[in-house]
Amino acid sequence: MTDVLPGSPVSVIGSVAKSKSLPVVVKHNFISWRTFTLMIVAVVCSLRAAPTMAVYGLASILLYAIPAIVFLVPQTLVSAELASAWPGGIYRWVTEAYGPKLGLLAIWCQYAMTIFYYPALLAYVASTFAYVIDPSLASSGLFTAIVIIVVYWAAVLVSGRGMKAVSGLSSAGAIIGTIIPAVVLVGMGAVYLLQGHASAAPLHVHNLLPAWAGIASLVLIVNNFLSYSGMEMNAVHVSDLKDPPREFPKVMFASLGIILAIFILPALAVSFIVPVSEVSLTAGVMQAFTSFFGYFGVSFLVPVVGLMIIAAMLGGMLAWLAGPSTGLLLIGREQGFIPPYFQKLNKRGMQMNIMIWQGVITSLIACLYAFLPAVSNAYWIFEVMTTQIYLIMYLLMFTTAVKLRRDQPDRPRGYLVPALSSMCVMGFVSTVGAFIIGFVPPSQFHSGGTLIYVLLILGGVGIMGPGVPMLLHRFKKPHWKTAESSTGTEGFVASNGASAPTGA
Amino acid sequence: MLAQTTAEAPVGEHPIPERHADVHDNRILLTVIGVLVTVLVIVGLVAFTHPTNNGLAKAKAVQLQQVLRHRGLPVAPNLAVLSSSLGTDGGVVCKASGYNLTDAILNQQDSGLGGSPSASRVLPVESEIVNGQLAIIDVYCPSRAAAFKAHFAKYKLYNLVRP
Repeated sequence: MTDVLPGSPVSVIGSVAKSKSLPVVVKHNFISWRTFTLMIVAVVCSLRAAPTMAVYGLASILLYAIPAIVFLVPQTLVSAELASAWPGGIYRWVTEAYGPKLGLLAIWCQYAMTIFYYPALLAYVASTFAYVIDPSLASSGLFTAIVIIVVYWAAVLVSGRGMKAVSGLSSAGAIIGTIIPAVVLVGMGAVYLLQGHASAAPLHVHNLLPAWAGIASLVLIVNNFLSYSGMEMNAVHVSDLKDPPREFPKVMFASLGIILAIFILPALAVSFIVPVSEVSLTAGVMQAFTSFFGYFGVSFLVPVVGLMIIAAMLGGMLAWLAGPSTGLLLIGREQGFIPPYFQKLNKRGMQMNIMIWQGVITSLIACLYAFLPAVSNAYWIFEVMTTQIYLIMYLLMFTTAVKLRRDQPDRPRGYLVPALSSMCVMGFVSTVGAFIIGFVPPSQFHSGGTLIYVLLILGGVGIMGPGVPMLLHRFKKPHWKTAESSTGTEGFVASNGASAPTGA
Repeated sequence: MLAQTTAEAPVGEHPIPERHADVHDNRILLTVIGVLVTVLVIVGLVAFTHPTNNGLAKAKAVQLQQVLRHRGLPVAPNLAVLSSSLGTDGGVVCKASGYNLTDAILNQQDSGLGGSPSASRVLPVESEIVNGQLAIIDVYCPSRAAAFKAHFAKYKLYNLVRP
């Protein structure tokens, strides 16, 4: 293990002393903006949502469009402006605006969300794999636990190979397991209709609007905001782009278009062929592919597409594994929030000790999740809590953007959001809406009334959210600080020599 | 600070980490992944059990269409879609219903909207989905119907789909 900071001038520039006399500048393997775009697609997109939203037929367009306008667009544009001016991602932006305490809270909110994510995601991987080889395995706790533990630790090993490996595999996963299957679904849906078959979902104009069922409809619409979360996460790797101020906004706009297409079009295609009553809750997207491929007489491709979808999920997981933990490492080193043991890096500059200990926790959760029905049945509650915590990060991000525009108007920015204040207000209000809706008890909650549910979620959010950063701050040690704060530095101008143009 | 770190380390003794391994460094990793994927594809192709699409499957599909119509639920306009995905035994719907862990996965899937962790928030459960699944279970694997009904008796269901 060594002590050089990832994303630092050393690693960004890639100057390496190969001999005792002459430092030699080696070529840095930057991530291309296309690969970066696919990393974001890998993080945000999934075909898992297609059957869920296909249920609503034509209304799924609106169910995706409204959240896209009020949450995705503000999130995308604000991230683009902030990342084009300050490297380091959310921790750096919030630290710049409000100081390290809230910077730590912001990155912790992003990191905390992943704690319960990996076991759930890998359980889904296990069930998809079981669908391919033997569906009855999906009910085996042992099988699920083995898949979660083996795949997670394999992902840690892969992450240890450095960002090039992570970005390459996650973008490959997005192409293989999300974009190609999405194109196949859409193509088959179009062919089905062109063959003259009636659509399973009604295609009348009034079907563009979802049915109104009171608070449940609001929950459906507002929870869809969360489909688009994560756009900002990869900003922590922005220094790995060759010209971040120019390329990151391009990345954000390209990923915005791809994400909208991948969410909306496959959902419509599924709704054309599979009616609501036959959408399988247990098999999800695999059942949709079985229906599609069965109809077109290519059922033998179902296991192949199953493995492709697994590849996409694992690609997304790799990106999540490397993202928030990097932010936590960076602020930990700059402010002395985490012990030196967790700050150590492997020879690729990756924070292996953080990932390894997260792996220990994930393995424990996996065992509890797989073998104790009470845990597995209540697992969604932990996900609700961590989602609420994540939303706190968005609240900080939107206020940060406004404050930094006001406090540092002359800071060179590669991209300027038009009408930033309005955009941030829209994003902030949407986030508050999503936060409030998070306290509405869902169908799965049977253990008491609304008050009990609200208190349960509030307690969990308090402990896992602000509670941990407060402890880290309380027990921080001056000698744990192993890097100088980057706050107030000249960002890209100073770190990699690329000039940051002002304005869009 | 970073420059100091570099200067303090004996030159040439500690190689400075580069966050990116180059293509050659990752050759072994890519080879291992390639072999693993190939093996899994072969296993998948061999092990995957296709739904049986024969005369019995078509008869069952017709029966399902009748049950769905009788219960006022949306019916697949194309019989081939039903018979090819549900086969003679109801496919995965019948193989998976009624287990604790599957219930948990069901919870996940009810909530899965996107690819990111925070996209996993529970959604209102649509009644037509549950009633449609029950119709499939009633036709293909009626012995599992009681467990399925018992599970969803705890759920509050909603009508969010516009007819």
